[in-house]
Amino acid sequence: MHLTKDEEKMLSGGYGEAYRRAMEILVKMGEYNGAKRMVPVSWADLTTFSGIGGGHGDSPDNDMYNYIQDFDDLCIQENVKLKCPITLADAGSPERNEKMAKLGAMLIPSAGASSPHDIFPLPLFGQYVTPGATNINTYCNSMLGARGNNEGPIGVHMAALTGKTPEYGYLLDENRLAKTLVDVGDDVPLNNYIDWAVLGFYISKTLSTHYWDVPIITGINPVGVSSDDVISFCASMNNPGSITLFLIEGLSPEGRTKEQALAGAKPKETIVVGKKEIQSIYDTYPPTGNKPEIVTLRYPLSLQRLFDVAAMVEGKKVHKDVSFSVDLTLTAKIVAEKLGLKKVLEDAGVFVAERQGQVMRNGKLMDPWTDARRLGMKTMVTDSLKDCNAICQQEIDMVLLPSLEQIVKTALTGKVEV
Amino acid sequence: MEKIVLKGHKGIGGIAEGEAVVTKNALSFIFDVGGIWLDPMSAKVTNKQEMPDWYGKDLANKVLVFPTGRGGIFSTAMIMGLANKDLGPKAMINVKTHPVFAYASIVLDIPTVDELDQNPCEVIKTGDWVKVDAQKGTVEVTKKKG
Repeated sequence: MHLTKDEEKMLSGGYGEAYRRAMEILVKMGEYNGAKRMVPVSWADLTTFSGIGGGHGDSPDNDMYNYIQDFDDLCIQENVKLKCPITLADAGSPERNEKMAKLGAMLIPSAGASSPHDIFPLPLFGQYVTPGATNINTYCNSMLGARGNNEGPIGVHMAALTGKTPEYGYLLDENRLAKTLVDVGDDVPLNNYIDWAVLGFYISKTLSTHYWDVPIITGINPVGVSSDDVISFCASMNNPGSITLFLIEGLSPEGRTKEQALAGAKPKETIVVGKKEIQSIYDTYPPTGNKPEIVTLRYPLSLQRLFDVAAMVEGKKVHKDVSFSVDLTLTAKIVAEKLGLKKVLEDAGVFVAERQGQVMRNGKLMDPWTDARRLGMKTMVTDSLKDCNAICQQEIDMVLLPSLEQIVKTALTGKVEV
Repeated sequence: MEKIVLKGHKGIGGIAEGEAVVTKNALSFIFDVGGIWLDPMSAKVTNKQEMPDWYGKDLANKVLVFPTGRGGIFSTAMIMGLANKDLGPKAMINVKTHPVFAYASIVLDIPTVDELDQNPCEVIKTGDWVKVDAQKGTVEVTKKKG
């Protein structure tokens, strides 16, 4: 792997132990993946250190957290700064936030921290980026044409420090061409962001062993598709599978046409998605006869969903046996406070969480990802397949409903609205 | 005893050997393995829907053979957590390693190889004894009797 003089100096310890360690990790990664050189990173995002489902990533018994903490301590001791031009971080704990600020990271509030709604600075076409969250990375690659591998916390952290990432995978032109064709039938319902999430889940599940193959998705009418739709699609693309780059014909900058996406080649596989396939996903998490104890909107409320939900609950009350929790994107949080919509939600008994994944139950904050079974929960209604996939392992009945209206109505009536 | 040698490029880490557990499904430590939300002391597979062939299997100290990784950056954290409790994988053999797994291997020095001359998920069977020499990029497979 060719390194510049500056990169060589980092690797040999000429800038201290922190840069040496970081560059050593990046070089090992580059060599494993056949990278020929390092490239400069325009944006590294450390927000997802805020953890799993509301803060567990930062818990003291998380060994990766300890590893990063020790690394940050070394950086502070050596008085080094993050070289990446701009790095955002909400580290999830005051202690770590303080350290990150010392290293030169710009801190943003945690609202919507792992959603692409509020990413700043907005990456530009062709730039190399290392977003922390998988869905943000997929959004940057697929909808903005910026380039990033799914590096995870270690790779992102080292890129933030050195300002470099190895050039492999989705940073290279040849790997950004489509390999697989996904043809979405006319009968597939795409009425809202939940339908889009379900479509993404099906594609992601079907292509779960194809991390390195880019799908070109055809059959979508670009008219009327919202950024909320695509953002929830990106989230599903990373659970259950791991699709870092997809192209939607007519919507993705590198997929204006199927021919452009495939660069004239034939797809090595074609997958047809119809209504039946989509229904099979909804049927995995069907309505039950149980009373819904917890109702959540786990995709942070965008501006649109904030207005929609506020209108649905205004002057009404969440059912007394139901805990209904939402969280907001950063923009929606600011708007909700300015326009009094947060009060509308709270007056109706909706819990507006400060952090993604938090749920208020019987006056106590809980995280269903870790606490559902321990607290004896039986049924949870959600808009999130990620929740369904994770929490059902605790033998909780997860119910995925196909519209915002049905979910809100369930919270108000106390019974699952089919 | 029948032996097969798979060859690839220089991998991550050094030499390790152990019993193979093989799947043709992509693996996510955060969504498939007990870990944080069920039992932080367990490397048992808990995701019946996505990992039916490995459901209930204990991955601790095994050589894991799987095509690639999938969803969730916190697989890195999970592998680190398990490894620090001596419950991590002895080695990992992939068709193509997912970056989130590769970084865990780099930090923990877990022997990891990919892009071999044959598909490891087809050649290696669960129960085979496998020796990975990551620096040479080789995998020596001793087939399980019977």
